[in-house]
Amino acid sequence: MKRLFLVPLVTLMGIASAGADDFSLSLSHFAADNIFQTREQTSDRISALTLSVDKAMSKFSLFSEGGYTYFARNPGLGFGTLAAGLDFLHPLSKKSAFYVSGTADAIFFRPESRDFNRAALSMNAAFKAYLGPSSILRSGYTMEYRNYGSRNFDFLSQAFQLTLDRYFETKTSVKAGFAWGYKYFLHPFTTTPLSETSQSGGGDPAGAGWRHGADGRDYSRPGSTENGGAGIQNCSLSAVVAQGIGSRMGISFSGTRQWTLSGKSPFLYVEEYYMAENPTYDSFSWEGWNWGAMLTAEVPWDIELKIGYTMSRKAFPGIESLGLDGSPLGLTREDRRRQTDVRVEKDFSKFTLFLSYSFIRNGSSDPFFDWKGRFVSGGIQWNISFGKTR
Amino acid sequence: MEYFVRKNPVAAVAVAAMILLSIPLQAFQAEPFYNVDTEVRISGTVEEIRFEPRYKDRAPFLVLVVKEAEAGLRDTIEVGPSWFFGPDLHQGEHVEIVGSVIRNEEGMRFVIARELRIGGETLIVRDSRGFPGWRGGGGRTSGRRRGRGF
Repeated sequence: MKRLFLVPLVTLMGIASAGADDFSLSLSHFAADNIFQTREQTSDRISALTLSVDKAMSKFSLFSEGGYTYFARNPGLGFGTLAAGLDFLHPLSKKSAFYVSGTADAIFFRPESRDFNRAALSMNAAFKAYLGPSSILRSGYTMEYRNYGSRNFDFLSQAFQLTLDRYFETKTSVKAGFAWGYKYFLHPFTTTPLSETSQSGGGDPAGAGWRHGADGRDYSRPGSTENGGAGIQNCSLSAVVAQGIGSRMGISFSGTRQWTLSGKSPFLYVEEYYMAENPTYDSFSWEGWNWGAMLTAEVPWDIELKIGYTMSRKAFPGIESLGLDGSPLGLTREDRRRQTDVRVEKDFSKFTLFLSYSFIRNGSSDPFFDWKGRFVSGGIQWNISFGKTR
Repeated sequence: MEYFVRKNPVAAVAVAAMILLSIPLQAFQAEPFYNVDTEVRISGTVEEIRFEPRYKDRAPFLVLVVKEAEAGLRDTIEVGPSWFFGPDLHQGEHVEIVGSVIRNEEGMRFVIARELRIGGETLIVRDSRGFPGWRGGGGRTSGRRRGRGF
């Protein structure tokens, strides 16, 4: 199966490299004191190297990218990435355009985490039109197939988004959005336990720490259809109101309400799901709401300052809360999070420096995810490009 | 050769494509390049937003017409192809632009944008030497975007 992914990947990377217009190299380093954002605070220094190669051919362009991410204190979490794709941009008028792209990508972890290796094929389509000088309609469609080292997590998903925005002379922007999505796990249940190595260690490659005492669990689910599929369908409504203050400052307020229309996570415990996706980030895993406010400003010396506050209440249908010893609590996991972020960034001609601070209070019905913490991270990023300067 | 193709169809396709695309393409017209020596900073209001072809065998570009706040001049700002799908710019918005002043073969003056600043947000379209920050065509604007949360 993996060969099917390698065919387009290798071909597209070869084509893009052969007649490339641009090569870019990006090297970034940063340190953070809770990389998994769980109550077991794990600090690390992370370095990432990415090489991108692009070639434009009229309305088409080829893009490819390869990289490696290294964790100084948790080297077992290191991973490599490869991606290549082709996209097409077509103007429908001076005020509207259509875009479509196809991408093949893969992530390779170190041997102890090979269950998380994955390859993916995805297709994106987008349409944008100016309905008037100050009003924009956008729509987008995404379809993705992912194939993991552990087949439990294989899925096919699709999502559709529609947004409409309007800008007023008072420097106010109002945007409303609707999204619908469907994610189908192709064969989430199996009676074969996953390899022991994939369930141990300080964290998993998907970005979540592990709970002690939950290792060695059989991933079969009583009463479920062995190797059967499971689908989750959801939709959301969102709104953003933004206000420009002078020419160098802006403030925005945003909110999202999301509903699960059908289905629920086919994985019984959050650890299982974590192996494929971090539920906090996977839009299919939760229902509930979030809202936030953000202030951004250009302060002296062209330093950008960003201050944000977000609140959310998310339930994870199908995911059961566990005690710290791994025993089921009989509750569906529900999190309430409050987060404050401050970030400053300075762009120099050769590199970019940033420093960020976050305070997070995550209340959860699952004690492992009931925590609060302060995080500081800082980093530097170099971007080096070769090729045509336009 | 036949053995190679049969045993390694993936590699064969890749090699063939590389050979074909390594052939230099004929330049149909001279394209202006970003010139760091003619860099300017412009502050003004967006008067017009267009998505139009600029160069042969290139995807159409997002083009802004900006009226300068102080001098009252109207500048044509060339941003890039993918940026049409990037930030939602509107007529009437105040912008600050860092870019290179260029004259085309007909002597028309325009500006190739390197940075756009809108409502506290900085969009880095090209790096300090003018290398584009976009990837691919429309939906993969990888140029760094900072600031405003919308």
